[in-house]
Amino acid sequence: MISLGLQLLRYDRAKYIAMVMAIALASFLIQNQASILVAFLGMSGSQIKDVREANLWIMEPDTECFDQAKPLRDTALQTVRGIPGIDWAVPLIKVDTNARTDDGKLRTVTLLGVDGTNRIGEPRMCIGSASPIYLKGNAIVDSGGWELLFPGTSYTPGRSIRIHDQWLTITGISNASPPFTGLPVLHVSDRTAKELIRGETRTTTFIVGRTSQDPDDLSQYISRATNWRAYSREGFQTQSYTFYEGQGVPMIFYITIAIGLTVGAAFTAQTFIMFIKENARGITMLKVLGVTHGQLAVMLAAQALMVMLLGLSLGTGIAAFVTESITSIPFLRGLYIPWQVVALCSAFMALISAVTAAIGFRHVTQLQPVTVFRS
Amino acid sequence: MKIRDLLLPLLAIGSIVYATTSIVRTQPTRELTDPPNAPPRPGYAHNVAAVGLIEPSSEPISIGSARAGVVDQVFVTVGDTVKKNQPLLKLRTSELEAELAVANAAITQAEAAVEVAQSQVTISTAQVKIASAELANVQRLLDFAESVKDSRVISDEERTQRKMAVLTQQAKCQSAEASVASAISSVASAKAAVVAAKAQQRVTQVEIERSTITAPLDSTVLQLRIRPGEYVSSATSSTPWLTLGQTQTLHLRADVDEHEAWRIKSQAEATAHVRGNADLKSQLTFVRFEPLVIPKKSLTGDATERVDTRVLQVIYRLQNPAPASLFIGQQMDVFIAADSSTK
Repeated sequence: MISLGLQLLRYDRAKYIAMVMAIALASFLIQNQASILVAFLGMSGSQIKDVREANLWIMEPDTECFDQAKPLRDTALQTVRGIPGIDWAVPLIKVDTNARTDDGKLRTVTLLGVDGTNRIGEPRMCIGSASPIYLKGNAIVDSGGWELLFPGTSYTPGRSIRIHDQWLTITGISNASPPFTGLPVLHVSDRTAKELIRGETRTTTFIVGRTSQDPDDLSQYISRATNWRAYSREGFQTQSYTFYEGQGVPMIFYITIAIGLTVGAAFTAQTFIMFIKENARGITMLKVLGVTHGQLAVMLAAQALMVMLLGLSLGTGIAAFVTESITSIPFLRGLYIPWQVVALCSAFMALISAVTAAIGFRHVTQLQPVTVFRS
Repeated sequence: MKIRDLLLPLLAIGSIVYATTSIVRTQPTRELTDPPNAPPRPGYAHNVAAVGLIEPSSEPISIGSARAGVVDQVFVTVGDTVKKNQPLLKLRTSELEAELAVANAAITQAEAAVEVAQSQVTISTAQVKIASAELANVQRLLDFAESVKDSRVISDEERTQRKMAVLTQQAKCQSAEASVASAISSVASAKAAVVAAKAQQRVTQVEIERSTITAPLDSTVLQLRIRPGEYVSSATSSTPWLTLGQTQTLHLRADVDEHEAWRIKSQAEATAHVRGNADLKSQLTFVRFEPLVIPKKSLTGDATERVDTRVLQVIYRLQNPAPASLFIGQQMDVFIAADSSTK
């Protein structure tokens, strides 16, 4: 019965391809939009993810996400180091400030001050090495940031920018994940950062630390026992993610995903039912010949499954290809398809196919022998 | 089955294989990595963390000068060990030496004046003797005239003249005696002038002595920012030009946040970690608490201080010998064992 079903599909090439393409299109739309949404919101945690050494983040309770952070008291670091369960803790400075490039362009940049003693929060490098930032007056910019600061030029050592009347030389290009704000990410040492933001009373934006206990439990303890708020690395990423999610950003993506689902479901179901109706005479003959409803159900299920698998595979392939192609755009280089998105999309497609097969089966059961004689 | 029928499934298989590899490859990695330099880890069950600054056991001594002037010679270099009262540097004293020569001349002059006055006394005394002898002579002549009653031998006129001569000579005697007294007081005055001149000489000598700055105690020269020809002010300077300190034992001044100060016990164990290599650590021995809680000063070396909170300073003695070469002024990360009774 299965091979018969698949043969039937092949004989009606137009509907067969139409259904596969509908599923493929829906899969592509869903996966593509969901990945962009996840990657886009995930950028709110880019800089958290980039501090690969720390699994604990401590901040002022007013800090809602990475991009909107209020600095801590300078002595907070020592207090945090004294909290039981913390292996180590170092400060991380994050400040958004205006920078002027050597050709006069004005840009807001995100300045990250890496702890110079222990080099925690140092970026992965694309061009050059991270070491020069521990000398005064040197900085590293991310590749997207270079594009924003010096558009149309390739990296040349020695270009400089001015922040608060102090010149910084760009000594390398980092692989820093693109931030949600889209601003250039500048890595400097904590000392340089403090000099650049001279005049601010508080300089420590975050304290990042490591614990060998469960970071979620410890962060809850810290939030309870001190005046600060603590998150695990993942927890803070989720917090930043949720903060932006609450700002209405995802709505546009949800709409596209819904369109993908609806179009996929409607088009596939419609085509499948047309297919069954056109083959009604044949199917009735089978029934007359003694093929049971169970056998027919298997046949329909095989057809639906085949269409779904082909469509899903093609859709996923296209989505992967498109994603890989557009990651060369600097701003979108953090884009990827999370495996959860693929799983969810497959589940949706399976649901659509199952529903379609069920509707088809209902039609089949209602077929009467007289249909054979219908012209 | 025709090849054409297999086209779509093959395409789908190819597509899913490509998608799988691509998705697996691009999944972000979230694993934790170890920092290039491991930061210090607390060594006790309950800790109070602090930042410490290494200082000499005597605390740094910024040498001051009693007088301002231009440096003539510097006798020490950085790192020298000096004994108490050992000369460190000498200011230019040429003008003081000139003043000393003047003072010496004044002494000589005053001493000469004493001699002059003393010879005046001798002269005056001699004159008194001459006047006394003259008086005796005229007295004898008067006495003779008085004893001869006969007015034919000695006229009244003669007698009166002799009386007058005696009176004159008596006055001359008194005058000469007064001269002696005057000369004696001149001697006293001249002697006082000598004392004054010597005192003046001493003043200059003291100034010269003060031009050589000596070590106040056995110590090491930690910093030398003065060279011959440079000017030293007697006022306090924010940048000391010569710093001494006792470095046989080193102390660590740990700043503890006032919010954490209550957790510290005086005899609690403490460890200090060397920055840059947290594996190098030194046991600390409690010395004292600084009685005054002060506003925290940022130790970033920045000229603008940031006062953010107040800190209790705890002084510890570093283990001797130190685990690594430690330098005065270096910062260390300190962990102090605290009570388990945290809030």
